[in-house]
Amino acid sequence: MRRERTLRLKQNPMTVWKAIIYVCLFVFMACCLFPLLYEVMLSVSSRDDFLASKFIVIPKHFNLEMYKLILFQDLIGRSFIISVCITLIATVYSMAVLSLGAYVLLKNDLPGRRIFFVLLLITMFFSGGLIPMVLTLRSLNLTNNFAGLILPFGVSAFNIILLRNFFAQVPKEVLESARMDGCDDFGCLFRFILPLSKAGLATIAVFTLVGKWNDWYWPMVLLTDEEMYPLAYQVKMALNASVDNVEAGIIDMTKVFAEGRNGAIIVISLFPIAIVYVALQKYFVQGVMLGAVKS
Amino acid sequence: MSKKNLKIKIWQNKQVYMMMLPVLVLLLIFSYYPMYGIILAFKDYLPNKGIWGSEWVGFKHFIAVFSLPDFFTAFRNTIVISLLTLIFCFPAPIFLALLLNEVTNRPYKRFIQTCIYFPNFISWVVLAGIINSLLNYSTGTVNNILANIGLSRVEFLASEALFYPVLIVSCIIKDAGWGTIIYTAGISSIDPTLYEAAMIDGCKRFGMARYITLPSLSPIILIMFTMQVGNILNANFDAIYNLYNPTVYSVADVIDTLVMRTGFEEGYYERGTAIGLFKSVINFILLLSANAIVKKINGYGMYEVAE
Repeated sequence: MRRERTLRLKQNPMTVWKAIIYVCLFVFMACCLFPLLYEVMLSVSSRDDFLASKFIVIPKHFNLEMYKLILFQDLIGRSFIISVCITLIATVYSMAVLSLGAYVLLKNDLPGRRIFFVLLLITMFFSGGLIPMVLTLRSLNLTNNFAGLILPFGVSAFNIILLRNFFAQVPKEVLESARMDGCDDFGCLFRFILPLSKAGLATIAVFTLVGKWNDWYWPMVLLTDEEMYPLAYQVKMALNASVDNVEAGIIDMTKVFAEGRNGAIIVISLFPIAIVYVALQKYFVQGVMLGAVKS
Repeated sequence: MSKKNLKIKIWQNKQVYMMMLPVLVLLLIFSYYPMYGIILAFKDYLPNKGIWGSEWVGFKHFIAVFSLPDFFTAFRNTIVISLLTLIFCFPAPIFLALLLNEVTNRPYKRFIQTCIYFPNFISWVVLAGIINSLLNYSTGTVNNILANIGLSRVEFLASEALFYPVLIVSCIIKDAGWGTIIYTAGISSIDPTLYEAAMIDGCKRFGMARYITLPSLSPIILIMFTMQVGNILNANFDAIYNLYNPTVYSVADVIDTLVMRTGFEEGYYERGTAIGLFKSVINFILLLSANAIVKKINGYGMYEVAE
């Protein structure tokens, strides 16, 4: 790896081709970032800025009225809190289930392991589909409550297999000596494997977390009361709603406009994801890389 | 193994079975019990009689579904969108990873990676909101620019001709960056002596990418390809459901959105289940055949990768 890098540095001065590659990547990166910046700018502009904009809106009259509007007068603030709770609970629950499953797969000579593995694998590629799932959840009284958004979605075959690969990187000797000291299976999992697989756990936790935060599909299917909607689905409902009939209250309505309100909703719902992304990026990128190379 | 040994082994592993139990129960209730619900496709569902008690009607609902003009449209659109995805979205991360591999300035590379990974974490609800505001007919930036350079404004999201380009470009922006990770990992595990040998043979950068990097990545590419093929009838539900509107149903309606509308919103449960089953079976067959082919080429398939 290192040798390769020094080799390249020596062999590759800046050439025209390389400059083109750098520029291409920059353009693609700009395509990824510009839409987000655009929404941020919309959300802090005033209606006059927006109406006066020729190419792109420039927030000359910086204000946070749109944020006040959505956080205090819409259901967005409420949904935000619901989403935080659901996401955290679902992630902890899911990680517990996944860890148990992954530990079982680690036992290569366990009688019945193969059946368990095949049962898992099938769910990756075949499912009952939307309607049988909804009827199942209805018959279990899991519609119109939060348990229905969490309980059924703990197992993910893909994540169990991924986590197993991380667990498999814990040195065999560690587990063997733990066994010698009289450690049982629960002890091995909780005292040795989990603490030694932090990168893997972080990787999968981030995916679960983001997946749950962004989930609008199951709330749409399972909930009917808009006061219970998690943020992602509330956002879907709120985008493009009219601002004409909003009661003024503490908000300066002359600065509010529909596009800006959408911008603020988008920024609010992206904010926690961005924080998790920046804080944990190092770990999960590494985790995904490791997982990918392993398999 | 004798019966007695097996019993001892099971007893020794009793804790492992205790760990297996919750996972198994969840699987049976939330994955396998719904699969049993598929028989709904062959019945006339009466809620008070339950799934089992309802009357068998054979292929009635399949025949009803297949004769719907909407079904034919949705089926065709699904195939078209999936093929477009395979042609444009599938190679994008490979191409990007090859470009990234040419970047020798590490901070620049890391900066680009950090930025292009992020869109993957945005939900389609939000992304569709952003796309709507950027492409809005009267206020969107893209249309503002078009109008100011003397072109006419375009109805991007209400135009049948432009729906696919918008969809594909948004998919690439959302997923291509993150998709590079697996290929970048693959590139980093290539033996550097291969590059040295190629250099001695007079290979330039382009030649190295063409004759070493790309062939070394081909097993990963094939596995990813298999997964894509197994997903052909899934199209991209999240993206389409959030981006489409009735004016573009003729090109944008896919099997999953049809299930959502007919089966769920309009309440034709049996038809929705029938379409869903049809889709799952075809996907499964496609996956198995693609896997068999890849196994011939690679020597190992998806099952072996998972194991």
